[in-house]
Amino acid sequence: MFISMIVILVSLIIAYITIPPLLKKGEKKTIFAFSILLFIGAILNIAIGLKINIPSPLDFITFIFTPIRKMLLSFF
Amino acid sequence: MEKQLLSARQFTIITLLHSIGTAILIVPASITKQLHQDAWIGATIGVLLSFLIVKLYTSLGNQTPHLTFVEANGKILGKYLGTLTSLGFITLAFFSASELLYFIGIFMQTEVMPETPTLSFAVLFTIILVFASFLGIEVFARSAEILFPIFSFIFIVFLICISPQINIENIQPIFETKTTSLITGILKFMSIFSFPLVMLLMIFPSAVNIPKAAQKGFYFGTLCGGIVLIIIIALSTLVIGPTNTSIETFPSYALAQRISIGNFFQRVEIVMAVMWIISIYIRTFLYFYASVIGIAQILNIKDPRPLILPLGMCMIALSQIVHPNIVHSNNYNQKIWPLYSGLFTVLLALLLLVIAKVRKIRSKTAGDHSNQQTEKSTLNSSETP
Repeated sequence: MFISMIVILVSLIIAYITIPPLLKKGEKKTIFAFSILLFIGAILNIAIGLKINIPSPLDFITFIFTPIRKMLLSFF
Repeated sequence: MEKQLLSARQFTIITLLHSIGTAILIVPASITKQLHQDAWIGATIGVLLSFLIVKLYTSLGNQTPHLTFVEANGKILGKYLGTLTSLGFITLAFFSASELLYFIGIFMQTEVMPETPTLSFAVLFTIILVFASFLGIEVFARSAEILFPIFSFIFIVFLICISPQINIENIQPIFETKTTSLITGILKFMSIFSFPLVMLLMIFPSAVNIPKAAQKGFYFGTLCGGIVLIIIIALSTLVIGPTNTSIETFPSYALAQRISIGNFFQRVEIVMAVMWIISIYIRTFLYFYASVIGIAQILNIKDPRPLILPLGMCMIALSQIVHPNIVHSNNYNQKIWPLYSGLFTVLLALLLLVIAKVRKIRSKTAGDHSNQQTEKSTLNSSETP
């Protein structure tokens, strides 16, 4: 809970520091990418703060590469 | 972001520390598990074979002298396919960066400060990385230059202090391993040691002032890094034996714990740990930098700095969820990582090189850029135009 509060605070501060200068320059694409990444980061960190079980992204990669590995090993 | 250039010496040092990276901490265990007392032979062959990979990377770099790896993907493979392969490359870099954060966290938690959560180490380490990325590659290169003497001093002290405990019987009998396990052992060693050198292509020809000298530095840095690793692997086999090395999680740390001169000079392992904290910092920074610059170049963003802080936050979060435990991490690093990294580093680079040779893609303005570079080489300081 405490971690999640800090995460929200930190992400608000980051957004407050970064977005106004970008708005002045009119870089909409940068703001878009920045917001999406910040959103993902904040959500993940809040979930960690609340001790929610998130599957590892490497499990997906393991799922893709296991058949390839088996196929390669069968050559030996 | 203004153009920042590195000198050849800085590039050599970065190559050296980057190739050592996490390998110094985890490779002795994995290679010894495969090759037992012949681990040092496998490591030597692996280092020699790594020159072929460095040759591949440098020739790809020379093919596209002004582009980073991600830009080269876009140019050689076309817009859509190039974006797809770049995305694969960036996810590889980003996952590895968070994995290294996990390693430094788990190392500190299991060996040094057992009651501190790994999150705090990840946050502290990320603050340094984010700060370094904000200042740019040139400042980072100078920090590597400062850290390198510390690294080599600690390494030499480590070597001298541990050498009285060498027991030569530990590596006998030699040449006992089968060919198949030798091949897999070498591949696993190379997948951690030399495949990730592709991250250097993000800075190699485009951000180096004298590419010819830097190319030599690429080979020399890989050679020195390889020698350091061979020495560490051989020492851990010689001192704590092949069986003990293969069951330790962090054999180099266990090796440092054995240092005891006259029952007086002992318990210095945490000073020795500075060595791999330095090398892991260099490697994590390069992974992180590659992903930041890569994302900015895919999206055509000129100044990647606004992306650094959110990516840092994502990296902290990923470092906590990337491996639930050390068994998961060992499984992944032994079985999946060689394939995953081999696909997006060596095979992708090979594909790019072949297609670039066939399509005869070369950057045009090589002449005027090299003039600019020779001017730059004499300065070698922070003054950027």
